Amino acid sequence: MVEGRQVFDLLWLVPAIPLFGAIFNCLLGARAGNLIVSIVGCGSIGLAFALSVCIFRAFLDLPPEDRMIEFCVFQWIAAGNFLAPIDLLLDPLSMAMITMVSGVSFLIHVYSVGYMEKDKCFARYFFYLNLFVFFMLTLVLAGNFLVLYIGWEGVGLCSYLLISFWYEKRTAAAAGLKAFVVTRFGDFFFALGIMLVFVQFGTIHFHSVFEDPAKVIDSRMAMWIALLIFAGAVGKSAQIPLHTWLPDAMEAPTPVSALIHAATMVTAGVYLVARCYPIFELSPVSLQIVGITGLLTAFISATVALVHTDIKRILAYSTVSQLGHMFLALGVGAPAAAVFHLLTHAFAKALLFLGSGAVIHALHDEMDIRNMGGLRQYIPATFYTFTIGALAMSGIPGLAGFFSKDAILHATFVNGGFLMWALIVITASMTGFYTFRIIFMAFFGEKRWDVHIHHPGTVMVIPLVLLALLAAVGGYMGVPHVLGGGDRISNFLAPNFGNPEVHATAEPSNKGVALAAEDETAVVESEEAAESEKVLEGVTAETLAEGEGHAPAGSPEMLLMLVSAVMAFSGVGLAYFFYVTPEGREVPAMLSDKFGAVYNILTNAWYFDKVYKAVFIDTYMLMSEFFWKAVDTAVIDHAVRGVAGSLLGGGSIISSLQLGLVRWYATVMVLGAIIIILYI
Amino acid sequence: MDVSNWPILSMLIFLPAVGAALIFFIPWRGDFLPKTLALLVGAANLWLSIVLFRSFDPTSADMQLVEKSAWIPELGASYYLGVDGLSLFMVMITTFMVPVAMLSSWDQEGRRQDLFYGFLLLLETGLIGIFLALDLLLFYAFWEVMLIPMYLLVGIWGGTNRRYATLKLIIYTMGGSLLMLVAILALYFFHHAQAGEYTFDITKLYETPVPPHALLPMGLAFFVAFAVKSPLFPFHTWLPDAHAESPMAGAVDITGLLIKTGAYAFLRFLLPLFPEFSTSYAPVVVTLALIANLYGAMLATVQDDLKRLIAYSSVSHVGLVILGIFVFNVQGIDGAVFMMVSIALCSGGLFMVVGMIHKRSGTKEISQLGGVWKDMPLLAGFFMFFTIASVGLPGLSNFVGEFLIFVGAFKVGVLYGVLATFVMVLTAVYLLWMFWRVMLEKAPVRARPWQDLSMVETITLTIPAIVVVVLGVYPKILLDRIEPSALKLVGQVKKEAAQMDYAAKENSIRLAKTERGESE
Repeated sequence: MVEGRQVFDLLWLVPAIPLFGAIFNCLLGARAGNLIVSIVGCGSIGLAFALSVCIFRAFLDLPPEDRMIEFCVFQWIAAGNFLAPIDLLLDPLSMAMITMVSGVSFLIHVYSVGYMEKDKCFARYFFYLNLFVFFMLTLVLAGNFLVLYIGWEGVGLCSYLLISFWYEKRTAAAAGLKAFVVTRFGDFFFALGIMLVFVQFGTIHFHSVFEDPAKVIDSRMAMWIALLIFAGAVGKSAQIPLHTWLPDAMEAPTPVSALIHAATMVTAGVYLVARCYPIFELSPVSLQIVGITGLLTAFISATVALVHTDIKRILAYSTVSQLGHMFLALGVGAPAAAVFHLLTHAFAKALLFLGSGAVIHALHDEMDIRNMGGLRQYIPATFYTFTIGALAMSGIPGLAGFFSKDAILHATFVNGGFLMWALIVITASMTGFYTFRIIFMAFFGEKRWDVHIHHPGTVMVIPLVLLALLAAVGGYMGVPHVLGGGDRISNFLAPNFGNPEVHATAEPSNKGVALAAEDETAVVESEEAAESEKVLEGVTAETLAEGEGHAPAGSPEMLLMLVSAVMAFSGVGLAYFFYVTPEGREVPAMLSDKFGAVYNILTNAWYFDKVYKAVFIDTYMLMSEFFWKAVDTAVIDHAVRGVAGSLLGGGSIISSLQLGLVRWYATVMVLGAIIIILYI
Repeated sequence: MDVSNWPILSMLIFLPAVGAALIFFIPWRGDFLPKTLALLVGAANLWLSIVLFRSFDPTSADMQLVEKSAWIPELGASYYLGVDGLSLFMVMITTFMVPVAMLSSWDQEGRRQDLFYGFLLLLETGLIGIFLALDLLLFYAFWEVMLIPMYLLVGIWGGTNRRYATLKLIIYTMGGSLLMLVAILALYFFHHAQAGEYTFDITKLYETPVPPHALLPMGLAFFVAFAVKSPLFPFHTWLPDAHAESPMAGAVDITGLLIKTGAYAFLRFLLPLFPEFSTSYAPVVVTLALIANLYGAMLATVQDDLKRLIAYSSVSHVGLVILGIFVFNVQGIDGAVFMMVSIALCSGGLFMVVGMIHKRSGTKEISQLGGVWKDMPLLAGFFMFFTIASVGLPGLSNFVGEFLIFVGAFKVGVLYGVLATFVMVLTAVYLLWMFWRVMLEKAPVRARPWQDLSMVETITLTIPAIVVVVLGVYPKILLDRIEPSALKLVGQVKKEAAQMDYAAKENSIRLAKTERGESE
């Protein structure tokens, strides 16, 4: 057993062990048989998880100011003053991330053993999955931009490979390409951001860049860097306008959707912005853009989730929406809340995806919730765990999602203004509605299917139960002061983001006012909001003064919490009314008839895909064809032939010279060569 | 074995020629013996280049292992060879890719395979000669020597349209060579007029200031000759034809090696011989390079012929290389040299995979293929590997070169950086779309399933794949040795810029040292 600080020297093994697993499964997997592949695949991730837990315990023993450990594994790229060693950085943010990533990955690997057991390409699947975990852990442990970029591109590659895993399906091949290219478009900006950081700072090392960026760059330059980095995050984390790849990515095997497209990779963008927060803080404009992008994404994708009928796509839009919540949190100056929501969402959404996988598995690859129903009695374990996940997701008090979402809503109210808060509360109620729409349509009512149920095996149920446990109690790492908690997650992350309470009130933005100015009543409301802000400032000041003390009951924070809880319940209640009670069952059809235009917009996901195809893909293909046929063949080639022809005395001669020319030239050159050699 | 006294550069050049002569002049019975001989000679040369690598001093920017003797004293031409950081890896990638290319066409059928292998060896002689020659006339001789086997490889063993392709190749390269010859002679006489001495020694010619009125035509002549060979937009249209029609090993060599000579010649000759020309016309060259970069990628998207697709992707990659050269900073030049080595491996790998598909299917039209993965999972794995390596995935070799070039361009001008970097999106589009159409989805009904890779084929693809990984993970092997020469070149072109780069380098080294000192 390694003791004390020595355990930190093993940090490099956390990503390296999954890499060994991947290499083994790649080279020997096909011959080794499913059992060995599963042992290596799950075992390597399990080891990585165990090691991160050991490191975590040692990490907690350090005093907070020492919680920043750096390693240089070896010098990677060095050209002039451009130095990119393989740096690893362990600080509270990356500590929290590697523990979550390796833990959730481990559970999903175990689940996959059951889910994929019949697949012919079992070894290939685990190769990709292990490789993914390696890149994801590299991403979060990176100590400089370029190492982060390795992980960033690597997870994108694995995502591509896994989306196209069933490569014989046309839709899977198309979805993989789309995912890769759309995120690559974001990566293009991110790469430029890295270069701009290098040009400005002369280094890409995180610690040197983030220590005191204000000394080097002004707020305008900070805005450029922040926006370029954010564009990368928008691609990877599927925010508007680059969100369209994520719903299509549901072509991947369901455990992959749970791991990559819900819990880990898509949150990399949130992680990136949180990592680069010192630069974002220098530029209020960039924070506003982050916040508004997150808010719009949260709202728009939630509306789409209301009408979809494919269980995985509903969850995909829900993921996009929840990622929007995280960016909103980042934008309103609450990065700790964003990371907190990232963690609780990872548990809840991984659980929901794995649960939906069990449903799909049970019904022989049926994904349309209209063809489900009454599954409660048939797969009870899935039902109960799925319900816990749904409750956590919807923000029902007491479960994980409630606390993290509340932290975001609170910060939005304080820093974003009333309108932003109102929009996000409405979104919260939609979350409750669409999540429980799945439950009521799939697990309640009459059965609308006719197949022999596949019961999920033990290896599939155990991860569900464990994730349900995490989704239920995961929120207790961040119970706010007002409820008598210690908000431990914010304190833990304080070395990264500074004291959370100071942050939340540091820069009251006037954005809410600007937005609200469109509307008379809203102005009044926002004035109220401003007043309550003052009250809140007083409250937090008190809280600060009291340290761990309890805030008075009935404070505005409590009120906000109450409102959001009521909204979440109302969403769930509406879903119950629409899909369970006999009176309400006619309403959805009636609504979609009456508001046909709105319904069409929603089912077409606001027409993003269609517009993109017409504007970008078609134009690009047309231009390329034009350059090929008109420029390359017609102009350049003709010109060359014309010049050559006139030099040789007319174009017709060329053809008659063809072989003669070769012979003549060859003879001359051979003679020349012989003469030269004779001279030597 | 004591190798320190060997004339190792000459051996590198002439060993393949001797091998070729043996193949041509001994009446072999059957193909197997001459093929084996050629492979052994290739392998021996690879070993020689490893000896060269080990005796190379990575700290020096000067010419090393110099061999110099009189050659045609009446003309002032000397047999003058030397190696530095710019040429070392050009030589090594040549000695590496030639045996790989030989292996890749090991079970190729067709007439006179013995001659085919002989010409491959002759080509190697020409290429290594180009990379090592420090005398302009000698360089020119090798430049021409290399072309003959190239014409013959395409003209004799090429595809159905080989005549047209060969003719185009000849017209382009001959045009370029003639221009260059005129410029070489002009330079020769200018030097005589100023220094009173006839010489083709480039280290002496470097010092010759060219009269202003002659600068543009002479620089242009060299530029066009090298641009054709590179090939740089708009001189590129011979490449898709030559690629499409050449046999597999020929194509591997064209992409991998032949076109490197153009970019290399920019570094060795154009920049140091005509620094004023290079710097004052750099914006034009950079624009052309950026056009080539994006235009090549766009054209690659709409190709139906796999070999043409990869040819256009080479046009795009070469655009990047030339961009890296003409931004005149150490990142750009390091990146460009690294990228040349890397393209040889990645595009060469892609070519070999395409050749293996072609051998089984008889077609290289994308529209005729599809679902190949199902039949050949092993080939699919290699195809995927070389595809993502070409896409520029970090951890594989292309990324290192590409990213350094992006950084170099970005330092010079934000717009250059933005336009150059955008190619990473387009590369992903055309390569992964190609991969989809060839490998994924359901296969059309075939008479019998295709056999997956044979042992020889697997080995052929594994060797470059390993190098791609090694260079991607530990690029310092190359970068450390390229850098002194790159810095020296930057200094020759731009005195002030070099001083800045030197200072920055020293600073960063000092910083790195103090940091390390603190942590330990």
